Amino acid sequence: MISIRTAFAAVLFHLILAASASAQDVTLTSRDGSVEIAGTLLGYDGEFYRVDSDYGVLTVDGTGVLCAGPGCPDLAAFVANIAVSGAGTIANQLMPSLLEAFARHQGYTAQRLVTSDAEFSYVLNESDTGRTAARFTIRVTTSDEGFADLLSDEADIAMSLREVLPEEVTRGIEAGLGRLSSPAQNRVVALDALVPVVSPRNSVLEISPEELSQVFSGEISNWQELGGIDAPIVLHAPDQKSSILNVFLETIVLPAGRHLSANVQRHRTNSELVDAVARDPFAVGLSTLSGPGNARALTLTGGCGFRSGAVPEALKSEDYPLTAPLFLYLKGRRLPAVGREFMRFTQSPAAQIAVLRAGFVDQGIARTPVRRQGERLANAIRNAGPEIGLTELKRLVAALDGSRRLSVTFRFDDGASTLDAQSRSNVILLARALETGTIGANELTFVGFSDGLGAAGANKRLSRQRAASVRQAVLQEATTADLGRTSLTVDGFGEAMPMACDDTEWGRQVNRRVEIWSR
Amino acid sequence: MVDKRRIFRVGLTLIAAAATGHIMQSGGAFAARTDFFPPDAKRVQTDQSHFDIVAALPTPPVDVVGPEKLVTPVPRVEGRIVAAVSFQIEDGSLTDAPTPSFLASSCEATLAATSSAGAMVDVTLTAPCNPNERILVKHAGLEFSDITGQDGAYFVSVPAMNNYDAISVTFANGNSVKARPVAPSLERYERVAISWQGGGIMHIHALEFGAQFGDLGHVWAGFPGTFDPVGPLNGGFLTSLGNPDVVGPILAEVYSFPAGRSHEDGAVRLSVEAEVTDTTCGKEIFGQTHQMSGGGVVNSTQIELTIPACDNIGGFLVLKNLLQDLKIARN
Repeated sequence: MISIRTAFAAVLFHLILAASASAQDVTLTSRDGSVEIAGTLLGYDGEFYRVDSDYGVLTVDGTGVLCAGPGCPDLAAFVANIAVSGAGTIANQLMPSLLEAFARHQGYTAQRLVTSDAEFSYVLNESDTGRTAARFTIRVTTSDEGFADLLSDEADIAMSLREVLPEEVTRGIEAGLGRLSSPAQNRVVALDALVPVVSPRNSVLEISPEELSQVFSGEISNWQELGGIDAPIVLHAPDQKSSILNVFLETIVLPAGRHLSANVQRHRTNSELVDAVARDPFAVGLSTLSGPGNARALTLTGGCGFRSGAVPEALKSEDYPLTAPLFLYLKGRRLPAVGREFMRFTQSPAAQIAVLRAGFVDQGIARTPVRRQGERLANAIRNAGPEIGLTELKRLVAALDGSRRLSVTFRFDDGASTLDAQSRSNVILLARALETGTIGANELTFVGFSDGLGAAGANKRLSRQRAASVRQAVLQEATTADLGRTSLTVDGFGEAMPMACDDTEWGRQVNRRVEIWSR
Repeated sequence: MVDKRRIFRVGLTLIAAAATGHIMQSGGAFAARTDFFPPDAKRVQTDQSHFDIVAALPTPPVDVVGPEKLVTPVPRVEGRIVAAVSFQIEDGSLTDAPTPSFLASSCEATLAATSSAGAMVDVTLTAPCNPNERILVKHAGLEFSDITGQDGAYFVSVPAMNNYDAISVTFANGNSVKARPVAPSLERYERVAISWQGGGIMHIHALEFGAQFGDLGHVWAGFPGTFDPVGPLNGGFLTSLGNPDVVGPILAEVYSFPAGRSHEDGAVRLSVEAEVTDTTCGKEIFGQTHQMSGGGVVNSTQIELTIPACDNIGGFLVLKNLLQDLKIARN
């Protein structure tokens, strides 16, 4: 029975292949005539042919072969068509800025074609000849739909405000699209953050993540409990599909065993949400740093005297607990040359300017001198438990003295020692900076810190181990770095300098980190 | 009245000069030799290296100008044959009325620019030989078409996009006059503009600080707002430019917000609405958007809008994301 079904499937397969082969077949012959590959053309990206041949799917360098047959593309008129789909924040705010900057940088003129708010495209023409080199079509959807379009081969690039889910990785592998979670297939292109907002007429200025979680689960329902006037709190949130909302729930609400209150007003777009909150002095909403608009952002306090505004340095270092990177995901298949150039461009200094102009935080490496770390040091002394002695604090001060903290910081997914998405991107950023010599430091120290759970001695060892493993990861990536110029050392201070209280999961996660100090 | 033969002869001279390649290939060189050329003239000359010089000669209005006045200065110096063209060029840095010359009463076209409230530039064109003529006004990528009056005069108040790209007026034959914009208060403004070809109906809608449609803070062509330079800030204002009745109309709308005087933090939400009419339905509209901030940094984007099909006549294509919302910080 089984064998019959297999045989039937095989026949069917051949029939389909024969039908498509006769519809569009090509023969690629090497220039010396020694090699010949016949099959169905699956695609041509301006450089490479993808051919379904008797030997399976082959990718053949176009410069080495001549193409014959009805399926051959018109080489001179080749236009790279790149379909992009995903989150509206990236599609509407970031992509136009990035694509226009890319066009200027590469000497293309750009034209934006608009049919509706749901879709637009950019046509890039060569400035001198006017020849169309590429067309980027951007579908304004959601992170979820971006991944769905990528997996169903309807998009080449997915724009996402969240990391790829495990089931999406599995589906990608099954579809032969590579491993979406691998560093080669995704890039962080900018940083954003979730920001709680209130009306400018509201008197409350600060809120802790713990309080925010209680507010949105309904445990705190009156402004009086937050130091405001006696009035009920009106909740505003993005609609269910919002990735930003999920970041909030997964970082702050769910780990505390709470759930989002049912009594929440939903909004389709961030602009609508922010403007609705701005009009109501009793409202609080979940918005993003890139679009606070007419409402006012609340400062997040970490408890224990910590305070974290959503400022660029705090987003770059993830010291702000609700940082949300913006991702582009790729299939494990070559993009046309223009597409690859675009992806490379997104990581360049020129792109960071476009990122800033679009209202997001860039990924440029910033340096904070030690004199601006006074508050951190004060916190370290204030919160030093009995296990942290004066000797250790003196050692910390000596290490800090004269050094600057780089904004690249490495943090770990809960409990585990795997780096989170932004930190994985930071590995590449730091490696590139080492390779190009833009850091300009004699010594970089990977300084590990831990949360305060467990014994201080064990924590110190663990923090040092984490620092060493991050250093290793950076070294592996920075293959051409001149280590004679910048030496990379490792240190660990365990729980000595916390960034937040250790009484919540997100607080501990903020504390478990590897910082980079430069001299 | 007009001595057609003499004009014809001048035309021939020009053609001859052109044929020998003197004028055609080296407008720049001529410009360099004739010292009365403003710096911008070089560029104009080079740009038009392919135009038909005879066509460039304006037709003098019979009643206004005697032919001698047009023709006499031309043959004096060989190099000044180009002057027959160069009369079209005027250095607009002279913001007062242009110095009268013996050419002034002839076909000389002049353009004067003066600053006015709201970082606007008042532009006055005097072109006695170009009455009722289609003109194209351009400034820093912003462009629109209009028509001169019966006396060849034209006045328009243009929102300055920066202080260095000339404001130019181009005539039907391709010649142009230029003036330098003067807008000292420019850096206190945020500006967005859209210009488009083909005469479709398109509007910018600005919702200031959370205003909703129909509120006081909803500024658009139907409620363009006003600018009061001394009174309390009452929001931004909208300028409609261009004349839909000229052939091949290019229209523009500019929304200006005096961010430098804002007492509020917040956002101005911007959208564009294109009406689906029987002349635009199912068609593409070509145009440009411009966003100006920081005292004259202009980001321009070429656009092509596809208007919905003709069964949607009377409806609107609403685009909330074509223009970036303005973020205003309190001062």
